[in-house]
Amino acid sequence: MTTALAGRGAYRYLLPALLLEALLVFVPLGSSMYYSLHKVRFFQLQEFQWFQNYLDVLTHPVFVNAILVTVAFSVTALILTFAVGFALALFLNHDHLYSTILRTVVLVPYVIAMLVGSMLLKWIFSTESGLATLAYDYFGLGRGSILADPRHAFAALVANGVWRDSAFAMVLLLAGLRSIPPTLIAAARIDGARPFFIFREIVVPLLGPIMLITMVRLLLHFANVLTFPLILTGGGPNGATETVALRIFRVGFEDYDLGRANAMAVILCIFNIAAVSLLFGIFRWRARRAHA
Amino acid sequence: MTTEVGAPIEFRGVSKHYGQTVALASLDLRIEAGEFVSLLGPSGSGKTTTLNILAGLLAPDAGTVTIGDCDVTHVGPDRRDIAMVFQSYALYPHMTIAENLAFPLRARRRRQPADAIATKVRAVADTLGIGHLLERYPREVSGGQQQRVALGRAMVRDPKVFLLDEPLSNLDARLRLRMRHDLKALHQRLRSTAVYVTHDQGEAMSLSDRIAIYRSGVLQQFASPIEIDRRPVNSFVANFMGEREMNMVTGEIAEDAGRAVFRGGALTIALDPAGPWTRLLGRKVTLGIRPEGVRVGEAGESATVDARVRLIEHAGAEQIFFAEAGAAEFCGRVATDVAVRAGDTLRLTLPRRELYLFDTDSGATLVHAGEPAGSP
Repeated sequence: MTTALAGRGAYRYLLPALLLEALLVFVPLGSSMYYSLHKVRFFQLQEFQWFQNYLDVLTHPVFVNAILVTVAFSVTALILTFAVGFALALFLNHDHLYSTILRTVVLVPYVIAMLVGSMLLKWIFSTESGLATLAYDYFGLGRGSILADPRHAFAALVANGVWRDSAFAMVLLLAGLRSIPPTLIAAARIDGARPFFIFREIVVPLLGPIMLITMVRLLLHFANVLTFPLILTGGGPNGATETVALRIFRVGFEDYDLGRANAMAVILCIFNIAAVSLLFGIFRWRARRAHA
Repeated sequence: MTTEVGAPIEFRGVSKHYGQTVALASLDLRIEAGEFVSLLGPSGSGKTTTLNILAGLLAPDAGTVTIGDCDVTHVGPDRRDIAMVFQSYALYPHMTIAENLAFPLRARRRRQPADAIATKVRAVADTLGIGHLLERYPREVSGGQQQRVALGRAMVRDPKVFLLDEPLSNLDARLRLRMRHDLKALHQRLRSTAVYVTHDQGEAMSLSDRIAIYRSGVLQQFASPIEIDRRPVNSFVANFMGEREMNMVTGEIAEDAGRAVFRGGALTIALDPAGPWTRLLGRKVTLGIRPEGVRVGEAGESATVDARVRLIEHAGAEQIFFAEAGAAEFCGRVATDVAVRAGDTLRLTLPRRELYLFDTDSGATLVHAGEPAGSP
């Protein structure tokens, strides 16, 4: 069995997967890089110009701002979403009737279309008819418009992310919590451990891999998401919520400058890889420290 | 480890229900300090429920639980000063064996300095012969060694009470016997109170000072192994104890030519005239005798049955035979040097001192070991 597959024969079985991977990942990535090295006007490929597009976008303050917004948004949304998702998972890790119902309720923002969700939130935050403004009024917080104020708009964008994706984090973390044998928790309780000690010494270490996967998925999602800023804030006011993804969309499909848009896309891709490597690094460092 | 004896345990009117199912029906049980007690019974009989209530992992619906002088009914498991060995061992997989052993000391409210913990861990590990495994992870050691780690983790705190939930059931037969022996030796040295859940009557017999036998959530009998063996309160207890099932024949006691006889299973068995039979005349009874009690040959005044051998099993130093007589079947043992073959007819002797009679309807013991039940 092992000898039969050890040679070149093994590759035959990998071929379909490799083909699909090439078609869906490497071809688009390659063509994106190819376009990013050319001048492109209105979908017309023009002259090859080395890294001129990269130079142009990286020196453009609007793009630098977009990077800063993306980093701020990704990190803030990641931390809050993970915290809320983890709290929900711990809170709903029982088999009572209420937790079964609540789990379903919590999933609603995640299962409705992103577009619809962001539209709903936009309506809630709007000045004319919004629920949020109503609540502001009630607590005597004045009549400021949420989406017109740069800081409030950014907070609204983060809220959109947390509101939708906490459920996703919860589902993954809940599955992880369920995989911890109940006897381990019972043993720790009998060993004299209080709940926080059990959480720190048993739950978190055993949940490590699931936490990493959850964080990576959330980070990639937040760093690349287009729907939230496009629908909720439109990137405004004054670029306060314009992420790299939204910038790419604008330059590519509103200004029809696919050369620069692809340059930005490649930069975003590198940014993604760096961010995920950083997460892996942190987890590996933590694991090694725990066993030192 | 410790010279002081463990704490006594008392259950008063403790019950637990799951919907309509009775997991435990009004349990009253007092375990003395330093005693080794087994909770024995088939699956779902309430023995594990009792243990979990004692551990604080389950809250009883009614009744009180006392450990030492403290009512612990509403005290969390972390404050009960107990230790438990789980059937699955419940070792923390992300910790080394040293870290597993140190966990109860680190989890404690008033924590000892690190070097005191290390000394203690080392001492416990050496006692159990796992000192060389301290840096390994649980998955890297054998089942028997994992079992010792679980035991060590329970010992490291010098608890007043040890709870053991079928700790040997995942080991192979040979190792199980050795661990059984080691457990007994350990308990003799520690003198903590030990409560041991098992469905293996052999384990319960060999380890315990006293055994509590459960059936369907109800405690049947709580007594020493010998007492339970010789004076079971009912047919369930009698049948559950012993390596093999008791031979049982339902019928009645009648009089035949001035002599008491047992009629049942298409058999008439003349009973030893010296036995306490006459007061049971006409009563529906079940006659019981353990396979070890059945003799071959040697008649005297004892009841005898002629039975045809159906099957022979070889069991080391002896042979187990199954022989039919009328509608009944008797299981018994003979030495290997006795020539017995399937088809042979044996004259089985049922000595009075080995006979049990149970009320067929209630199962209550009427006669045990040839003496009327209730007599000393």
